[in-house]
Amino acid sequence: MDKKAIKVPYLLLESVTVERNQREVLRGISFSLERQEIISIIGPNGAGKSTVFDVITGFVKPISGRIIFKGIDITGWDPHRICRLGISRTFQISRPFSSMTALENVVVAIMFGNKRAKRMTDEAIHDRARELLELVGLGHKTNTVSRCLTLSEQRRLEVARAVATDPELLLLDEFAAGLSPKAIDNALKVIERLRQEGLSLLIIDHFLNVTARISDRIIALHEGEIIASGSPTEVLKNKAVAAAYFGGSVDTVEELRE
Amino acid sequence: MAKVEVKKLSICYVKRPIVHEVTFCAEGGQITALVGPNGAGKTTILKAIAGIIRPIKGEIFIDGIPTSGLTVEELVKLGVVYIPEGMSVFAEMSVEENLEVGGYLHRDRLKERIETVFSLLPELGKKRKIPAGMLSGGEQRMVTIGRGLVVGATVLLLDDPFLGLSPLIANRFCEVFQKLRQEGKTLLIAGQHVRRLLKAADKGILIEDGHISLEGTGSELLKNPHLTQVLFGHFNAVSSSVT
Repeated sequence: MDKKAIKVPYLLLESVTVERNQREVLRGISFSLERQEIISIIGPNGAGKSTVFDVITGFVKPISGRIIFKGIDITGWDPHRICRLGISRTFQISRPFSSMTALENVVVAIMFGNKRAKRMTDEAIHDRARELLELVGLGHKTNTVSRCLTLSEQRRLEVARAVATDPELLLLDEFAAGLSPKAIDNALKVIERLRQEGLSLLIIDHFLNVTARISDRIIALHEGEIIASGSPTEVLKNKAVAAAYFGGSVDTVEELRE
Repeated sequence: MAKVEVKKLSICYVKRPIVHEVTFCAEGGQITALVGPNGAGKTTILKAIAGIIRPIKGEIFIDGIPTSGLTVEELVKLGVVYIPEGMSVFAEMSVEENLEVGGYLHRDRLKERIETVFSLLPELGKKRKIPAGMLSGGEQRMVTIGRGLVVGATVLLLDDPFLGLSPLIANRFCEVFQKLRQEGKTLLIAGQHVRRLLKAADKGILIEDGHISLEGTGSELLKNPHLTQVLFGHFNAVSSSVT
Protein backbone atom coordinates (compact mmCIF):
# COMPACT_ATOMS: atom_id res chain seq x y z
CA MET A 1 0.00 0.00 0.00
CA ASP A 2 2.95 2.27 0.70
CA LYS A 3 4.19 2.27 -2.85
CA LYS A 4 0.95 3.90 -4.00
CA ALA A 5 1.59 7.17 -2.27
CA ILE A 6 -0.89 9.10 -4.38
CA LYS A 7 -2.86 11.78 -2.60
CA VAL A 8 -6.22 10.07 -2.51
CA PRO A 9 -8.29 10.42 0.66
CA TYR A 10 -8.75 7.22 2.63
CA LEU A 11 -12.51 7.34 2.08
CA LEU A 12 -14.06 9.62 -0.48
CA LEU A 13 -17.71 10.24 -1.33
CA GLU A 14 -18.18 12.21 -4.52
CA SER A 15 -21.59 13.75 -5.32
CA VAL A 16 -23.45 10.74 -4.00
CA THR A 17 -27.20 10.75 -4.62
CA VAL A 18 -29.53 8.08 -3.27
CA GLU A 19 -33.18 7.63 -4.07
CA ARG A 20 -35.80 5.81 -2.05
CA ASN A 21 -39.46 5.62 -3.12
CA GLN A 22 -38.79 8.12 -5.89
CA ARG A 23 -37.53 10.58 -3.30
CA GLU A 24 -33.94 11.77 -3.13
CA VAL A 25 -32.81 10.99 0.40
CA LEU A 26 -29.20 12.00 -0.26
CA ARG A 27 -28.56 14.80 -2.72
CA GLY A 28 -25.09 14.90 -4.15
CA ILE A 29 -23.15 14.70 -0.94
CA SER A 30 -19.35 14.79 -0.96
CA PHE A 31 -16.89 14.40 1.86
CA SER A 32 -13.67 12.61 2.69
CA LEU A 33 -12.18 10.92 5.71
CA GLU A 34 -8.53 10.32 6.49
CA ARG A 35 -6.95 7.31 8.17
CA GLN A 36 -7.46 7.31 11.95
CA GLU A 37 -9.86 10.20 11.69
CA ILE A 38 -13.17 10.30 13.58
CA ILE A 39 -16.05 12.09 11.89
CA SER A 40 -19.54 12.38 13.33
CA ILE A 41 -22.65 12.88 11.29
CA ILE A 42 -25.43 14.81 12.99
CA GLY A 43 -28.81 16.02 11.85
CA PRO A 44 -32.55 15.87 12.45
CA ASN A 45 -34.41 12.56 12.38
CA GLY A 46 -34.88 11.51 8.79
CA ALA A 47 -32.07 13.74 7.46
CA GLY A 48 -30.36 10.79 5.76
CA LYS A 49 -27.64 9.95 8.30
CA SER A 50 -28.16 6.19 8.29
CA THR A 51 -28.51 6.27 4.50
CA VAL A 52 -24.91 7.57 4.33
CA PHE A 53 -23.91 4.39 6.15
CA ASP A 54 -26.14 2.29 3.88
CA VAL A 55 -24.55 3.66 0.73
CA ILE A 56 -20.95 3.33 1.96
CA THR A 57 -21.52 -0.28 3.01
CA GLY A 58 -23.42 -1.25 -0.15
CA PHE A 59 -26.86 -1.78 1.40
CA VAL A 60 -28.24 0.74 -1.04
CA LYS A 61 -26.74 1.71 -4.38
CA PRO A 62 -26.44 5.37 -5.34
CA ILE A 63 -28.13 6.56 -8.53
CA SER A 64 -25.13 8.79 -9.16
CA GLY A 65 -21.77 9.62 -7.61
CA ARG A 66 -18.77 7.56 -6.55
CA ILE A 67 -17.42 6.03 -3.36
CA ILE A 68 -13.69 5.41 -3.17
CA PHE A 69 -12.08 3.47 -0.32
CA LYS A 70 -8.31 2.96 -0.12
CA GLY A 71 -8.09 4.10 -3.72
CA ILE A 72 -10.58 1.48 -4.91
CA ASP A 73 -13.91 2.45 -6.46
CA ILE A 74 -16.43 0.47 -4.42
CA THR A 75 -19.55 2.10 -5.85
CA GLY A 76 -22.23 -0.54 -6.34
CA TRP A 77 -20.27 -3.35 -4.65
CA ASP A 78 -22.19 -5.87 -2.57
CA PRO A 79 -22.08 -5.50 1.23
CA HIS A 80 -20.05 -8.66 1.89
CA ARG A 81 -17.27 -7.58 -0.49
CA ILE A 82 -17.14 -4.14 1.10
CA CYS A 83 -17.02 -5.78 4.53
CA ARG A 84 -14.07 -7.96 3.50
CA LEU A 85 -12.30 -4.95 2.08
CA GLY A 86 -12.35 -3.48 5.57
CA ILE A 87 -15.53 -1.51 6.23
CA SER A 88 -17.98 -2.67 8.86
CA ARG A 89 -20.91 -1.09 10.59
CA THR A 90 -23.47 -1.36 13.34
CA PHE A 91 -27.17 -0.86 12.84
CA GLN A 92 -29.40 1.46 14.81
CA ILE A 93 -31.89 -1.35 15.20
CA SER A 94 -29.79 -4.36 16.12
CA ARG A 95 -30.72 -7.75 14.72
CA PRO A 96 -28.53 -10.44 16.25
CA PHE A 97 -29.17 -14.10 15.44
CA SER A 98 -31.70 -14.29 18.21
CA SER A 99 -31.50 -17.97 19.09
CA MET A 100 -27.69 -18.01 19.18
CA THR A 101 -25.68 -17.05 22.21
CA ALA A 102 -23.72 -13.80 22.34
CA LEU A 103 -20.51 -15.77 21.77
CA GLU A 104 -21.90 -17.63 18.76
CA ASN A 105 -23.01 -14.36 17.22
CA VAL A 106 -19.49 -12.98 17.38
CA VAL A 107 -17.99 -16.27 16.16
CA VAL A 108 -20.20 -16.10 13.06
CA ALA A 109 -19.06 -12.54 12.43
CA ILE A 110 -15.41 -13.60 12.59
CA MET A 111 -15.90 -16.66 10.41
CA PHE A 112 -17.89 -14.82 7.79
CA GLY A 113 -16.40 -11.37 7.73
CA ASN A 114 -12.80 -11.70 8.85
CA LYS A 115 -10.27 -12.37 6.10
CA ARG A 116 -7.94 -14.11 8.53
CA ALA A 117 -10.59 -16.58 9.76
CA LYS A 118 -9.53 -19.30 7.30
CA ARG A 119 -6.11 -19.41 8.88
CA MET A 120 -7.44 -19.36 12.46
CA THR A 121 -8.16 -22.45 14.56
CA ASP A 122 -11.60 -22.84 16.11
CA GLU A 123 -10.04 -22.19 19.45
CA ALA A 124 -8.43 -18.98 18.30
CA ILE A 125 -11.72 -17.79 16.83
CA HIS A 126 -13.54 -18.47 20.09
CA ASP A 127 -10.81 -16.77 22.10
CA ARG A 128 -11.01 -13.70 19.89
CA ALA A 129 -14.82 -13.68 20.23
CA ARG A 130 -14.55 -13.80 24.03
CA GLU A 131 -12.01 -10.99 23.96
CA LEU A 132 -14.38 -8.84 21.91
CA LEU A 133 -17.31 -9.49 24.24
CA GLU A 134 -15.05 -8.51 27.11
CA LEU A 135 -14.19 -5.31 25.24
CA VAL A 136 -17.84 -4.24 25.01
CA GLY A 137 -18.59 -5.28 28.59
CA LEU A 138 -20.46 -8.47 27.81
CA GLY A 139 -17.83 -10.83 29.17
CA HIS A 140 -20.32 -12.17 31.71
CA LYS A 141 -22.99 -12.83 29.08
CA THR A 142 -21.09 -14.99 26.57
CA ASN A 143 -23.49 -17.92 26.90
CA THR A 144 -26.70 -15.91 27.07
CA VAL A 145 -29.02 -16.47 24.13
CA SER A 146 -29.04 -13.10 22.42
CA ARG A 147 -32.81 -12.64 22.44
CA CYS A 148 -32.57 -12.65 26.26
CA LEU A 149 -30.13 -9.74 26.27
CA THR A 150 -31.47 -6.30 27.11
CA LEU A 151 -31.75 -3.83 24.28
CA SER A 152 -28.59 -1.99 25.27
CA GLU A 153 -26.71 -5.28 25.59
CA GLN A 154 -27.85 -6.22 22.09
CA ARG A 155 -26.47 -2.95 20.80
CA ARG A 156 -23.13 -3.66 22.41
CA LEU A 157 -23.16 -7.14 20.89
CA GLU A 158 -23.66 -5.36 17.58
CA VAL A 159 -20.43 -3.41 18.14
CA ALA A 160 -18.55 -6.62 19.02
CA ARG A 161 -19.81 -8.23 15.82
CA ALA A 162 -18.74 -5.25 13.73
CA VAL A 163 -15.25 -5.15 15.24
CA ALA A 164 -15.00 -8.95 14.81
CA THR A 165 -14.53 -8.55 11.07
CA ASP A 166 -11.28 -6.64 11.74
CA PRO A 167 -12.42 -3.48 10.00
CA GLU A 168 -10.16 -0.61 9.05
CA LEU A 169 -13.12 1.72 8.88
CA LEU A 170 -15.92 1.31 11.42
CA LEU A 171 -19.32 2.97 11.12
CA LEU A 172 -21.21 3.24 14.40
CA ASP A 173 -24.91 4.09 14.27
CA GLU A 174 -26.02 5.47 17.63
CA PHE A 175 -23.71 3.40 19.75
CA ALA A 176 -24.38 5.59 22.82
CA ALA A 177 -28.17 5.36 22.68
CA GLY A 178 -29.55 3.62 25.74
CA LEU A 179 -26.24 3.56 27.59
CA SER A 180 -25.86 5.20 30.98
CA PRO A 181 -23.55 8.23 31.01
CA LYS A 182 -20.90 6.17 32.77
CA ALA A 183 -21.19 3.37 30.21
CA ILE A 184 -20.84 5.97 27.46
CA ASP A 185 -17.58 7.15 29.03
CA ASN A 186 -16.29 3.60 28.94
CA ALA A 187 -17.46 3.14 25.36
CA LEU A 188 -15.56 6.28 24.38
CA LYS A 189 -12.40 4.83 25.86
CA VAL A 190 -12.93 1.74 23.72
CA ILE A 191 -13.34 3.92 20.64
CA GLU A 192 -10.19 5.87 21.43
CA ARG A 193 -8.33 2.58 21.79
CA LEU A 194 -9.63 1.34 18.44
CA ARG A 195 -8.45 4.54 16.84
CA GLN A 196 -5.00 4.16 18.34
CA GLU A 197 -4.92 0.65 16.89
CA GLY A 198 -5.33 2.27 13.47
CA LEU A 199 -9.08 2.39 12.91
CA SER A 200 -10.97 5.24 11.29
CA LEU A 201 -14.51 5.91 12.43
CA LEU A 202 -17.72 7.45 11.20
CA ILE A 203 -20.22 7.99 13.99
CA ILE A 204 -23.90 8.89 14.13
CA ASP A 205 -25.16 9.99 17.51
CA HIS A 206 -27.57 12.39 19.14
CA PHE A 207 -25.52 12.77 22.31
CA LEU A 208 -23.78 15.91 21.16
CA ASN A 209 -21.50 16.14 24.14
CA VAL A 210 -20.28 12.70 23.12
CA THR A 211 -19.72 13.44 19.45
CA ALA A 212 -18.19 16.82 20.20
CA ARG A 213 -15.70 15.20 22.54
CA ILE A 214 -14.32 12.50 20.27
CA SER A 215 -14.77 13.80 16.75
CA ASP A 216 -12.10 15.51 14.72
CA ARG A 217 -14.80 16.84 12.46
CA ILE A 218 -18.58 16.96 12.38
CA ILE A 219 -20.78 16.88 9.30
CA ALA A 220 -24.34 18.19 9.65
CA LEU A 221 -26.98 16.77 7.32
CA HIS A 222 -30.39 18.22 6.67
CA GLU A 223 -32.88 16.87 4.14
CA GLY A 224 -30.20 14.86 2.39
CA GLU A 225 -27.68 17.67 2.03
CA ILE A 226 -24.61 18.69 3.98
CA ILE A 227 -25.42 22.03 5.55
CA ALA A 228 -22.21 22.40 7.57
CA SER A 229 -18.94 20.65 8.21
CA GLY A 230 -15.86 21.45 10.22
CA SER A 231 -14.58 21.23 13.76
CA PRO A 232 -17.18 20.36 16.43
CA THR A 233 -17.24 23.93 17.77
CA GLU A 234 -17.64 25.43 14.32
CA VAL A 235 -20.51 23.17 13.36
CA LEU A 236 -22.34 23.41 16.66
CA LYS A 237 -22.22 27.20 16.49
CA ASN A 238 -23.59 27.21 12.97
CA LYS A 239 -26.99 28.92 12.84
CA ALA A 240 -28.49 26.65 10.18
CA VAL A 241 -27.52 23.60 12.23
CA ALA A 242 -29.02 25.10 15.36
CA ALA A 243 -32.29 25.86 13.61
CA ALA A 244 -32.65 22.43 12.02
CA TYR A 245 -31.33 20.36 14.85
CA PHE A 246 -31.67 21.90 18.31
CA GLY A 247 -34.41 24.35 17.45
CA GLY A 248 -32.60 27.42 18.71
CA SER A 249 -29.18 28.84 19.26
CA VAL A 250 -26.61 27.53 21.67
CA ASP A 251 -23.54 29.26 22.95
CA THR A 252 -21.59 26.40 24.43
CA VAL A 253 -21.31 22.72 23.86
CA GLU A 254 -21.89 22.35 27.58
CA GLU A 255 -25.49 23.50 27.08
CA LEU A 256 -26.10 20.60 24.74
CA ARG A 257 -25.58 17.91 27.31
CA GLU A 258 -28.29 15.36 26.57
CA MET B 1 -55.93 11.67 38.75
CA ALA B 2 -54.51 8.22 38.76
CA LYS B 3 -52.01 7.35 41.38
CA VAL B 4 -49.66 4.42 40.85
CA GLU B 5 -48.58 2.61 44.01
CA VAL B 6 -45.97 -0.09 43.90
CA LYS B 7 -45.60 -2.10 47.10
CA LYS B 8 -42.77 -4.51 47.87
CA LEU B 9 -42.47 -5.56 44.25
CA SER B 10 -40.17 -8.51 43.56
CA ILE B 11 -39.63 -9.96 40.09
CA CYS B 12 -37.55 -12.85 38.82
CA TYR B 13 -36.43 -13.68 35.28
CA VAL B 14 -35.41 -17.27 34.65
CA LYS B 15 -35.03 -17.79 38.41
CA ARG B 16 -32.74 -14.78 38.69
CA PRO B 17 -34.04 -11.95 40.91
CA ILE B 18 -34.25 -8.72 38.89
CA VAL B 19 -36.32 -6.49 41.14
CA HIS B 20 -36.26 -6.81 44.89
CA GLU B 21 -38.87 -5.34 47.25
CA VAL B 22 -39.36 -2.10 45.42
CA THR B 23 -41.87 0.31 46.96
CA PHE B 24 -42.73 3.72 45.57
CA CYS B 25 -45.57 5.92 44.51
CA ALA B 26 -46.12 7.95 41.35
CA GLU B 27 -48.69 10.69 41.81
CA GLY B 28 -51.14 12.01 39.24
CA GLY B 29 -50.13 15.36 37.78
CA GLN B 30 -46.49 14.55 38.31
CA ILE B 31 -43.56 13.23 36.36
CA THR B 32 -41.66 10.49 38.13
CA ALA B 33 -38.28 9.60 36.66
CA LEU B 34 -36.68 6.18 37.02
CA VAL B 35 -32.93 6.36 36.50
CA GLY B 36 -30.19 3.81 37.01
CA PRO B 37 -27.36 1.94 35.31
CA ASN B 38 -28.09 -0.41 32.40
CA GLY B 39 -29.62 -3.63 33.66
CA ALA B 40 -30.78 -2.16 36.99
CA GLY B 41 -34.39 -3.24 36.49
CA LYS B 42 -36.09 -0.06 35.24
CA THR B 43 -37.73 -1.69 32.21
CA THR B 44 -38.86 -4.64 34.31
CA ILE B 45 -40.64 -2.34 36.78
CA LEU B 46 -42.46 -0.51 33.97
CA LYS B 47 -43.47 -3.79 32.36
CA ALA B 48 -44.81 -5.05 35.69
CA ILE B 49 -46.98 -1.96 36.11
CA ALA B 50 -48.28 -2.47 32.56
CA GLY B 51 -49.14 -6.07 33.42
CA ILE B 52 -46.73 -7.55 30.85
CA ILE B 53 -44.63 -9.24 33.53
CA ARG B 54 -46.10 -10.80 36.64
CA PRO B 55 -44.27 -10.19 39.91
CA ILE B 56 -43.48 -13.08 42.23
CA LYS B 57 -44.26 -10.90 45.21
CA GLY B 58 -45.75 -7.53 45.94
CA GLU B 59 -48.68 -5.50 44.70
CA ILE B 60 -49.41 -2.68 42.31
CA PHE B 61 -52.39 -0.34 42.68
CA ILE B 62 -53.78 2.09 40.13
CA ASP B 63 -56.00 4.56 41.94
CA GLY B 64 -56.31 2.09 44.78
CA ILE B 65 -57.34 -0.77 42.47
CA PRO B 66 -55.06 -3.81 42.72
CA THR B 67 -53.88 -4.80 39.25
CA SER B 68 -52.87 -8.37 40.00
CA GLY B 69 -56.01 -9.87 38.42
CA LEU B 70 -56.05 -7.61 35.37
CA THR B 71 -54.88 -8.49 31.87
CA VAL B 72 -52.78 -6.10 29.80
CA GLU B 73 -55.87 -5.32 27.73
CA GLU B 74 -57.91 -4.44 30.81
CA LEU B 75 -55.10 -2.21 32.03
CA VAL B 76 -54.98 -0.40 28.69
CA LYS B 77 -58.75 0.11 28.95
CA LEU B 78 -58.14 1.59 32.39
CA GLY B 79 -55.76 4.03 30.71
CA VAL B 80 -52.44 2.47 31.66
CA VAL B 81 -50.19 2.61 28.62
CA TYR B 82 -46.65 1.34 28.26
CA ILE B 83 -44.46 2.74 25.50
CA PRO B 84 -41.58 0.28 25.14
CA GLU B 85 -38.01 1.17 24.36
CA GLY B 86 -36.75 0.67 20.83
CA MET B 87 -38.41 1.09 17.50
CA SER B 88 -40.97 -1.70 17.17
CA VAL B 89 -43.36 -0.38 14.57
CA PHE B 90 -45.66 -2.44 12.38
CA ALA B 91 -43.33 -2.11 9.43
CA GLU B 92 -45.79 -2.81 6.63
CA MET B 93 -48.51 -0.58 8.00
CA SER B 94 -48.54 3.10 7.24
CA VAL B 95 -47.67 5.63 9.93
CA GLU B 96 -51.35 6.47 10.27
CA GLU B 97 -52.36 2.81 10.60
CA ASN B 98 -49.77 2.36 13.33
CA LEU B 99 -51.43 5.14 15.28
CA GLU B 100 -54.86 3.63 14.65
CA VAL B 101 -53.69 0.33 16.09
CA GLY B 102 -52.46 2.20 19.15
CA GLY B 103 -55.95 3.53 19.70
CA TYR B 104 -57.65 0.17 19.05
CA LEU B 105 -59.23 -0.01 22.51
CA HIS B 106 -60.10 3.68 22.61
CA ARG B 107 -61.77 4.24 19.27
CA ASP B 108 -64.11 6.98 20.33
CA ARG B 109 -62.96 10.18 18.56
CA LEU B 110 -59.74 8.47 17.57
CA LYS B 111 -59.34 10.49 14.35
CA GLU B 112 -59.17 13.68 16.37
CA ARG B 113 -56.46 12.32 18.64
CA ILE B 114 -54.49 11.08 15.64
CA GLU B 115 -54.62 14.59 14.20
CA THR B 116 -53.40 15.97 17.52
CA VAL B 117 -50.37 13.69 17.32
CA PHE B 118 -49.70 14.82 13.76
CA SER B 119 -49.98 18.47 14.73
CA LEU B 120 -47.43 17.75 17.45
CA LEU B 121 -45.17 15.97 14.98
CA PRO B 122 -45.67 17.56 11.56
CA GLU B 123 -42.62 15.56 10.39
CA LEU B 124 -44.73 12.42 10.79
CA GLY B 125 -47.85 14.04 9.38
CA LYS B 126 -46.03 14.55 6.09
CA LYS B 127 -45.32 10.82 5.97
CA ARG B 128 -48.62 9.49 7.25
CA LYS B 129 -49.26 7.22 4.24
CA ILE B 130 -45.75 5.78 4.10
CA PRO B 131 -45.14 2.28 5.54
CA ALA B 132 -43.55 2.80 8.96
CA GLY B 133 -40.76 0.37 8.11
CA MET B 134 -39.48 2.82 5.49
CA LEU B 135 -38.92 5.61 8.01
CA SER B 136 -35.59 6.39 9.62
CA GLY B 137 -34.88 4.95 13.06
CA GLY B 138 -35.65 8.21 14.85
CA GLU B 139 -38.88 8.65 12.92
CA GLN B 140 -39.90 5.12 13.86
CA ARG B 141 -39.28 6.07 17.47
CA MET B 142 -41.62 9.04 17.00
CA VAL B 143 -44.26 6.61 15.69
CA THR B 144 -43.99 4.34 18.72
CA ILE B 145 -44.37 7.30 21.10
CA GLY B 146 -47.22 8.72 19.02
CA ARG B 147 -48.91 5.32 19.09
CA GLY B 148 -48.91 5.49 22.88
CA LEU B 149 -50.01 9.12 23.07
CA VAL B 150 -52.99 8.49 20.81
CA VAL B 151 -54.63 6.37 23.50
CA GLY B 152 -55.21 9.40 25.70
CA ALA B 153 -53.78 7.46 28.64
CA THR B 154 -54.14 8.49 32.26
CA VAL B 155 -50.98 6.64 33.25
CA LEU B 156 -48.11 6.76 30.76
CA LEU B 157 -45.15 4.46 31.23
CA LEU B 158 -42.32 5.55 28.99
CA ASP B 159 -39.18 3.51 28.47
CA ASP B 160 -36.20 5.57 27.28
CA PRO B 161 -38.40 7.86 25.16
CA PHE B 162 -35.62 10.12 23.88
CA LEU B 163 -33.47 7.34 22.51
CA GLY B 164 -32.55 8.05 18.91
CA LEU B 165 -34.30 11.42 18.77
CA SER B 166 -32.69 14.69 17.73
CA PRO B 167 -32.49 17.34 20.47
CA LEU B 168 -35.21 19.28 18.66
CA ILE B 169 -37.71 16.42 18.84
CA ALA B 170 -36.65 15.42 22.35
CA ASN B 171 -37.39 18.99 23.48
CA ARG B 172 -40.76 18.87 21.84
CA PHE B 173 -41.64 15.61 23.61
CA CYS B 174 -40.51 17.16 26.89
CA GLU B 175 -43.04 19.94 26.32
CA VAL B 176 -45.74 17.37 25.56
CA PHE B 177 -44.97 15.50 28.76
CA GLN B 178 -45.19 18.72 30.77
CA LYS B 179 -48.54 19.47 29.19
CA LEU B 180 -49.86 16.00 30.04
CA ARG B 181 -48.61 16.48 33.57
CA GLN B 182 -50.56 19.73 33.85
CA GLU B 183 -53.64 17.87 32.64
CA GLY B 184 -53.25 15.63 35.65
CA LYS B 185 -51.78 12.58 33.92
CA THR B 186 -49.37 10.30 35.71
CA LEU B 187 -46.06 9.97 33.91
CA LEU B 188 -43.45 7.44 34.81
CA ILE B 189 -40.38 7.81 32.63
CA ALA B 190 -37.31 5.58 32.67
CA GLY B 191 -34.19 6.33 30.72
CA GLN B 192 -30.57 7.24 30.32
CA HIS B 193 -30.99 10.92 29.53
CA VAL B 194 -30.43 11.41 33.23
CA ARG B 195 -30.04 15.19 33.33
CA ARG B 196 -32.90 15.85 30.98
CA LEU B 197 -35.19 13.47 32.89
CA LEU B 198 -34.38 14.66 36.38
CA LYS B 199 -34.72 18.29 35.35
CA ALA B 200 -38.21 17.59 34.06
CA ALA B 201 -39.28 15.33 36.92
CA ASP B 202 -41.13 16.17 40.12
CA LYS B 203 -39.74 13.05 41.66
CA GLY B 204 -36.67 10.99 40.87
CA ILE B 205 -35.91 7.42 41.81
CA LEU B 206 -32.50 5.80 41.44
CA ILE B 207 -32.63 2.04 40.86
CA GLU B 208 -29.52 -0.05 41.39
CA ASP B 209 -29.38 -3.83 41.13
CA GLY B 210 -33.13 -4.12 41.39
CA HIS B 211 -33.72 -1.97 44.43
CA ILE B 212 -34.28 1.70 45.17
CA SER B 213 -31.14 3.35 46.45
CA LEU B 214 -32.25 6.98 46.33
CA GLU B 215 -35.49 8.89 46.14
CA GLY B 216 -36.16 12.62 46.12
CA THR B 217 -37.09 15.55 43.93
CA GLY B 218 -35.44 15.66 40.54
CA SER B 219 -33.16 18.52 41.50
CA GLU B 220 -32.15 16.86 44.79
CA LEU B 221 -31.13 13.74 42.94
CA LEU B 222 -29.15 15.69 40.36
CA LYS B 223 -27.04 17.15 43.15
CA ASN B 224 -26.60 13.87 44.96
CA PRO B 225 -22.97 12.67 44.99
CA HIS B 226 -23.99 9.00 45.13
CA LEU B 227 -26.05 9.35 41.95
CA THR B 228 -23.19 11.18 40.26
CA GLN B 229 -20.86 8.37 41.16
CA VAL B 230 -23.21 5.60 40.02
CA LEU B 231 -24.37 7.13 36.77
CA PHE B 232 -21.58 9.44 35.71
CA GLY B 233 -18.72 7.50 37.22
CA HIS B 234 -15.20 8.32 38.22
CA PHE B 235 -12.21 8.66 36.01
CA ASN B 236 -10.71 5.47 37.34
CA ALA B 237 -13.76 3.38 36.55
CA VAL B 238 -12.30 2.02 33.29
CA SER B 239 -12.04 -1.59 34.36
CA SER B 240 -15.39 -1.77 36.07
CA SER B 241 -16.91 -3.13 32.84
CA VAL B 242 -18.77 -1.24 30.20
CA THR B 243 -22.21 -1.82 31.70
